[in-house]
Amino acid sequence: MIMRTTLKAYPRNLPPWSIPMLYVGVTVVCAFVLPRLENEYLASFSLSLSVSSALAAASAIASGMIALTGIVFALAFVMVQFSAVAYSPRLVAWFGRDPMLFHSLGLFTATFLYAIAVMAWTDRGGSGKVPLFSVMLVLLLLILSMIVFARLVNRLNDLQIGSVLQLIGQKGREVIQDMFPRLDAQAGAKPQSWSIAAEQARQRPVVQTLHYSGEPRTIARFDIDALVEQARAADAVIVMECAVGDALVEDAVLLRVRGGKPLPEARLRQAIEVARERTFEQDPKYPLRLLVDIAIKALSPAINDPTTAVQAIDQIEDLLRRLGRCTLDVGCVEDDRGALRLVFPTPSWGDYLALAFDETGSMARARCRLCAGCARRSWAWLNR
Amino acid sequence: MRRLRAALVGLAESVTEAGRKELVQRYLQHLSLAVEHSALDAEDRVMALQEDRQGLGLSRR
Repeated sequence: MIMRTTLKAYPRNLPPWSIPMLYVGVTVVCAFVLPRLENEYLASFSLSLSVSSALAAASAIASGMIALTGIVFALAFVMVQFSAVAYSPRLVAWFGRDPMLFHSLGLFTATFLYAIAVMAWTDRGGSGKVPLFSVMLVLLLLILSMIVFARLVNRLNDLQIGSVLQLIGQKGREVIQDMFPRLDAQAGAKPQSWSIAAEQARQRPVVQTLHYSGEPRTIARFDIDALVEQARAADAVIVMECAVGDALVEDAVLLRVRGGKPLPEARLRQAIEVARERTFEQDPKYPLRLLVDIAIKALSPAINDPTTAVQAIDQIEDLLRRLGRCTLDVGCVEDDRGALRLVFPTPSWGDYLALAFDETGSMARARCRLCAGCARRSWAWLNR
Repeated sequence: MRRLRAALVGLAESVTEAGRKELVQRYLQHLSLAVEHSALDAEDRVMALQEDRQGLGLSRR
């Protein structure tokens, strides 16, 4: 029996830079429309504040927001860089893409822009009036900016090692839960191994081989449903020759289509998403890799931080215990009629153990003498 | 070493499939062999062969 995988099709997010751009766009539109509407229909409402005081307040808010934005983001990126260098360089991109950073940048810029608009509409045409609702809106944006600022500072506390390890572990737990069914929850016959299925598929003739062309990239995810649908339409089996997380270089074989007829190359390429860096999606090896990186760095004589190594191993052990209770061989996907359509490589239990323990074990053995010596001296001191 | 041993022993108890358990046991044996073949003295070896979930803090076995 061939099992159907339950890989989630994650929604594609907007690029992070579009978040502050969205805030800027909405604010510019509001800055052109709302004060005009207020001037047209709510002109009778005016703030009992002198024009000079209102201008000074709006000016202080506008200049203060720009200064705050500069300081906050300079500090945030220094902290992210420092923490990422201390734990793993891969984390820079991860924290740098945090939507909270971009939402705060957007809100700070929106407050700045709308404060400028208020200055433009105060004493408009020598009216001597201060627009009530626009000033209220600026104050509201200012308060929201302070709330977001406080949350951002709180978020930066997440860069402590305990929180970083917890976050990586959480990502790992999520991807394990998404990808693998539990052994005890599996009904019926044992699923067919992807390697056996790939071997069987080799008996069918190769009708198409897809190569990668371009700059070196990493496979971020497979669009399982799209690949299965294309294979079903051509009555073929797609055998992936690369796995999620693999690096792609020029002319690397991506997949082979066996049996049936050739498939449109552009659609096949669309179903294989590549990125500059590995992602957590569909890649349970990646959180383990990051945790091992942190552990072996902590165990190295240059860093010498055994507590961090122990904390990293806590998370590694938790992930392995979860993996140990799951069906790991999920690389065979069938269509609705039960015909095998897609085969892709997945790591075995041995691969996970090797990833988790080969390098950490090697570093731990190097530290063995030092640790044991320390312990013996501690016991001697305690028992004297 | 002691934390790794604790993790592997816990893992061996946790997994249910015989093949997976055997692989974990192999890693445990490898860890023990590394201690035996190391340049540690007898007392250090006893320490290094203990399980300790806190690294060097709370040995139970």
